[in-house]
Amino acid sequence: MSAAQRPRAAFATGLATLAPDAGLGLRFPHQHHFIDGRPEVAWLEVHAENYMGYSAATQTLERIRNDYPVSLHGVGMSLGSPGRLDAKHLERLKALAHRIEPCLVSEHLSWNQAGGLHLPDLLPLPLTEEALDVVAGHVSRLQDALGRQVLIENPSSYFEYRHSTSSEPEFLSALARRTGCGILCDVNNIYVSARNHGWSASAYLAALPAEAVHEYHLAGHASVALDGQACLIDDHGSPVAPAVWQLYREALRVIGPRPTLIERDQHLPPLPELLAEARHAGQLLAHALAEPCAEALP
Amino acid sequence: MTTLARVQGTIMAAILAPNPPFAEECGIDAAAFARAIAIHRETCRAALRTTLSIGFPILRKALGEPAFELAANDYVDRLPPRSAWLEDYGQDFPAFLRMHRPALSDEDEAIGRIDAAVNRALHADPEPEWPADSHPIATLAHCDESFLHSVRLIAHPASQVLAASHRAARRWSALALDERWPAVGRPDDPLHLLVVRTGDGVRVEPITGDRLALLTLLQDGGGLGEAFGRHGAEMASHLAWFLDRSVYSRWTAAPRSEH
Repeated sequence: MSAAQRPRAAFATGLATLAPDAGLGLRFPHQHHFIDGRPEVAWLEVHAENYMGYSAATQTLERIRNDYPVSLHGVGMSLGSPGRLDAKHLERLKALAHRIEPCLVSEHLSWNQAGGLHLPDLLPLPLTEEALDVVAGHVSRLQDALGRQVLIENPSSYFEYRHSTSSEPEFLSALARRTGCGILCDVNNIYVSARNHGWSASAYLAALPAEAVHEYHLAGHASVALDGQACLIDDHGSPVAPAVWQLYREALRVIGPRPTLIERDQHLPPLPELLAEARHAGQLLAHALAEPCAEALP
Repeated sequence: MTTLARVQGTIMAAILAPNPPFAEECGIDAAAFARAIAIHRETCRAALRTTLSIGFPILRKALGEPAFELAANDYVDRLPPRSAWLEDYGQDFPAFLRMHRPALSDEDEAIGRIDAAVNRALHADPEPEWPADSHPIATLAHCDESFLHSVRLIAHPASQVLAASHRAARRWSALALDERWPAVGRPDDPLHLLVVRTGDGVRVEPITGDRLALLTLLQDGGGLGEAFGRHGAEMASHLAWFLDRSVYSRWTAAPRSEH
C-alpha cells in the first residue's frame, strides 16, 4: 500500500496542550520583547525556515520556548511538487522540531519547487486526483518523519486551473481523510481567494470538515488594480480587515473555536498593535466558547 | 513527465521570465495568468531582495539603498534559489556583482565578501560530524606539554579567515562596528580577518604577524608540535588567544594526513 493510499492514522499532536486561545506570529524584530517583558499572549508561531540554522535568533527562540508554546509553520516543503521531498529540508525541520518541541506543526497546500529551482512563494495547485496523490504521499511522509500530525493550510490564490476536478474544501477534506492530517484554516486566504474568483466564502467554510480544523490564521491583505481589474493580495502587510473579522466570527460559529494566530510579515508595527489584535481574537474566541454550537444556531 | 510537473515547470519558467508568453497548456485563463504571474514574480523578488538585504547589511550601506536594490534585482532575476534554505542564498552575490556590474569597485566586492563570511558564521552547523577519534577542545587543558606536540586542532565550522584590502576592511569596520580598525601592516598588503561566532553574534577582527602564521599552519593541518617548534615561547599565549575566540572546537592526536 502506498503512503498516499494509507488509511487515516492516529498521530500525536500538541493540541492537548494548546487551548483555543489567540497567538501571535513571532518575527525577529519583536524577539527581545518576549525575553525582556513576557507580554501576555497564549502562544507563538514562527516560520520554521527562519530557525533551521544555529543562529543567535534560534538560540533566542529556545529561550522563548521556555515561556510560551511555539508552533512551527513551514513555508518551504513544497508538498505539491511531484517527486521526492527535499530530504535535507525534512531533516532540518525534524531537528528543529526536536529542539523546540512545538505545540503544532503546519505547512501549506501549495508548491514552490520545480526543475531544481525554488521560489519563496506559495503557488496554488490544480485540484486533481494526480495532485491529491502527490500531496497525500508527501504529507504522509512528513508526518511519519516527524511522528506527529501536521496541519495543512489552504492557500490564497490569484488564478484557478480549468482542469481542477474538485473544490478546495473537497480537496482538503479528502487529504485529511487519506492522511490523518489536520487543516489550518486561514480565514484571510479564504476571503482573498473568494473575492478574486467569485466564490462564496461562507460556502467554503461550511464545506470544510470541522473536526479536522485545528487552527485559524488571521492576517491583512492589500487591494490593487491590475489591468483595470481589482485583485486582493495576501501580503500580511496591514491589520486584519473588518470583512475578515466578520468571516472569522462566522468560522467560529460554523466550525467552532480553535487556536487562532495573528500574522504580520510586511510593515511590521510596534508589538502592542499586534497584541491588541490578538486580544481581540481572544475575546471573540472566549465569546464563541460560551456560545451554543453551530447546529443550534439559526 | 507528469501533467502536474509539466504545468509547474511552465509556471515556474513564466515567473522567472521577463516577458512570459501565455501558456495555454497550464489551463489558466489568459488574463488571470498574466496578473497572477506578475504578482508571484514581485512576491519572489521582494522576498529574495529582503534575504540579500539581511545577508549583506554593510554592502547595502556602502552602496546605498537604490544601487543595492538594482543589484539585488539583477541577481535574483538571474540566479533564483535552488533550495528553501535561504540562509545560503547569495553567497556568490559579491562575485556576481563584480562580473555583471563592472561599475562596482573591488572595495565593494570585498565588503560583500566580509558580509558573506559573517552570514556563514552565523548559520554554520553547531555540531558537524566530528572524527571519531577527536576530543572536545576543553580537554586539551588536561594534556601535558609533551603530549601537546602530537595534537592537531580542528577548526570550529563557523570560524573563517579571509583577506581583503586594508581600505575595504577598514571601511567595513567603520560601517559595521562604528569604529575604524587601526592601520596594521603595510597598506598595500591584504589584511587578513578572523571571523568567529560568539555567544550572541559574530566577531570580526584583523589577524596579523605570528598569530596569522600560526593560524595558517594549523588550518593547513599542521600539528601543535610543529607549531611549538616555530613559535616557541609565544605559543602558549597565541593558543590561549585562539581558544578564547572558539576558533577551534576539537582536537585529535592523529598524525598529519599526507595529501
